[in-house]
Amino acid sequence: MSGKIVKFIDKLNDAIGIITGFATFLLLLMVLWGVFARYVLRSPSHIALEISGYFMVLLSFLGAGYILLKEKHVSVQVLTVKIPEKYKKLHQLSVNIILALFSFLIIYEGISFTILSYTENYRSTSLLNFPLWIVFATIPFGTFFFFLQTIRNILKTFTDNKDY
Amino acid sequence: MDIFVTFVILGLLILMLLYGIPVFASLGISSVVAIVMTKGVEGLTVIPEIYYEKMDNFVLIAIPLFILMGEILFHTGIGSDLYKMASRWTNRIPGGLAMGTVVASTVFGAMCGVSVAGAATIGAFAVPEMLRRGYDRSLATGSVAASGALALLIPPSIGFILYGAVADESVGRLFIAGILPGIVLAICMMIYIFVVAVVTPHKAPIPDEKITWKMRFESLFRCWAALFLIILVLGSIYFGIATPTESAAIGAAGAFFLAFFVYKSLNWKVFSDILLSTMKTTGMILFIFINAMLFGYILTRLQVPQHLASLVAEAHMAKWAVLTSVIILLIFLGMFLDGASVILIATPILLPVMEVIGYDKIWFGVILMITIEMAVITPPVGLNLYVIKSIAPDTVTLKDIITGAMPFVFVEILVIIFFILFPKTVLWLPMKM
Repeated sequence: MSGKIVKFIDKLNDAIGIITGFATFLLLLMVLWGVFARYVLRSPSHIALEISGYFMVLLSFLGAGYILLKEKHVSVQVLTVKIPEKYKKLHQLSVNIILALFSFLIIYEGISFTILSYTENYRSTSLLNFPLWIVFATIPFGTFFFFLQTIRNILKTFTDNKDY
Repeated sequence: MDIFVTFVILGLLILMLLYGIPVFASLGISSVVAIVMTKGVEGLTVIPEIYYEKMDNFVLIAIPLFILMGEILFHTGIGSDLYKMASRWTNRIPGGLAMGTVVASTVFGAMCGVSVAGAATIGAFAVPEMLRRGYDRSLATGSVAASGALALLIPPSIGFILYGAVADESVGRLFIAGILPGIVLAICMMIYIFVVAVVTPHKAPIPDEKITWKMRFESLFRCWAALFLIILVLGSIYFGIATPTESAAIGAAGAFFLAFFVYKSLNWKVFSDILLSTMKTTGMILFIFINAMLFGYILTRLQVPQHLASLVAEAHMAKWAVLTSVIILLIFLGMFLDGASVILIATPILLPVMEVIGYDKIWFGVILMITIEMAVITPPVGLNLYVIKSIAPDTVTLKDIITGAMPFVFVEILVIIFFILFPKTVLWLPMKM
């Protein structure tokens, strides 16, 4: 059962990774449109400018789970490489539990802040008057996939008897 | 300043880093602990607010776009063209092939903001070529590892974007400030290679291959598009036509154009690989960025940088002593952390100290980048050393690469001393903007 969950989370974060990658391309198109509007049409696109900023928040959080899946989050490995083989799993388990707790806290605070901004109707001060709860919601939404990946890593510690 | 809380969070940060917890989480968790200790659990509501506030900065969009530009060019094979061009022009000079590596890395650095990509792209062609021509293994690999790091200093540099965002300084001016020191450093590296080749000719034999002027100009012509792209991106920033973010978008679009029409290297698989690589590097950096900003916010609330700055001011320490201590600390940090983490952790703490003893923000930014260039070729966490190891033939050991890279650290120290003695050389170009 836990093996299936591990595979499902891996596939899910793989898909999220691809979506986030293509969102980077969309970001490029948005900034290019802003450049075109400013220099060619002589009518700066404030919408493109503002939306591209919100996209950056989304990109920062959404890809975190995929990056954990690919083990690309930077850490100091000077001491950890010296951990004896039999304790490596335990070490990885403890790191993932800490990451899971931290990401859970971000999700909780992120949801609270999103609800607050929705009920208080926080909006951007620009002409677009964009409802900011949508932007704030990307923080717990993106972190949720990171949290899932930490759970997957914890499960994997118990299911995988080979290399972790 | 709450000394107890400060010591607890700094101690906790060091402990978590050493325990192998990712840098972003070490910063984030230390901040959480500080918030709970000072404001209670209710204070944690500030976290998403800080995350959003710090990300809401248009200049940060330049990070994924410049990384995208570098990734596209990495997949075009432009590295081979640049190396061929540079090595043909330096072919007859002692150490010419290694010098060509430095030139190619400098030009590639002007298209790419990440040092690892520079070392990997140029090294993939330069290392086998130099070894085939009988170059000493250490000189061949050391020159690629060190010159690949020039991408950090030569604009567009991701390091400068991060520093600009933390230090609240114009990224455009930082980019322009990096040009001259980048060129000076490249020239000094070439002088070192020349001296080695003259003193110990067996380490860098002159190739007997005949290169005609026609061949040299042909290879230069093959690089016209890349050179045009550099002029377009940096020129638009220098003359104030476009912001760094807009220039990054133009550069990335231009790189796509080159990959598709000139190099014909773009297909669906390559396209999706480029986007995934871009996302991985961007996400990794930005996740550290937001948590470092949260950590910076906590330090400011605890008034750590302010107290450190006034402590230094009251101690009446000599400027050079403070600066030397700062540089040694940065080198030490760089031995264990990646460049982005060093910039994001050190800047909020050290910049106020630098300002209080009268150093300019832009000047310090340049010194910081050169220090990080040293860090990426210094063990145990010298990223470029491992990149070169992964692309070099099996006969090359990590020890060869470290031995080859170490003299370049001394070259970089000499260059730092030069810019400390003549700070105006750094500020001259940005002053002209």
